[in-house]
Amino acid sequence: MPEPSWHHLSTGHATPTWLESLPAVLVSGFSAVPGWGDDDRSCVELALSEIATNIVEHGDGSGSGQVRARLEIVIDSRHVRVVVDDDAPPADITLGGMPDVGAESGRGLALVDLVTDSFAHTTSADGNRWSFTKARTPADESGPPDDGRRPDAGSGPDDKGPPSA
Amino acid sequence: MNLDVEARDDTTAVLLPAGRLNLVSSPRLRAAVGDAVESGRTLVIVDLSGVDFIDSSGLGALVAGLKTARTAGGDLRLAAAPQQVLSVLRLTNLDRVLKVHESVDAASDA
Repeated sequence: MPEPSWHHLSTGHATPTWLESLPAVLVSGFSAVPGWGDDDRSCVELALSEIATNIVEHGDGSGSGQVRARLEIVIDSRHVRVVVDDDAPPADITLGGMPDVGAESGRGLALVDLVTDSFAHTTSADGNRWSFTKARTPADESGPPDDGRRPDAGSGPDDKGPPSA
Repeated sequence: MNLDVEARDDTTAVLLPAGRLNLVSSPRLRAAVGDAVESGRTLVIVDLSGVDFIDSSGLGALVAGLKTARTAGGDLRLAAAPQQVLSVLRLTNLDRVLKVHESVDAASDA
């Protein structure tokens, strides 16, 4: 039986409305691929929000929504991969550590780097590519395994298992 | 995001944001802190029990609010933060300056 996977591809203007639409996209994806824990889902949501915020806020320097963004998300039972392309002028990104606690900005991309397994920003003549991956935390690190079996379920002849259709 | 504001007494305001604290909603939180401090309520307690998501824009609003309150001789304290908020505060080291209390009462008494 093939593993469940989910693919999303959309293109739109990088506006606050677009930013606000993204959580529902992730809810759809994680609903289609069960097994992802709340902590991992929160990390993906945070990383996507930070990247989208960066594009909306800094894409063309005005936040007017003239920048277009293409969003691709792939979720399977082990990984999430997100790629966001925009047509804004190439951004000058330097990933450093977390800014001082008194800073009112500058934490977004540092957070993306912290909560994902790989984060990359590349530029080209067409704009920027922001991508990250997040691996699912193994069940034994996030809680009891959920493989559909009862804890006392055996494999002997007395275990009839679930009724067949 | 919804944002309710309660005047707890003459010097304390309780802000109750609900929903997502992000680029779109954080300016309202900044403004609400500014309004409270301007009215003389320089102890601002932000009850986060209704917030289900915060990102760096929301954090920026809290840091700005802390500065505003302290500049006026007061303070900004957090109460009842859910797990996602606690995690992000910890990741950004902001848990060192933005103390989270169990409840609004605990924040008021701190």
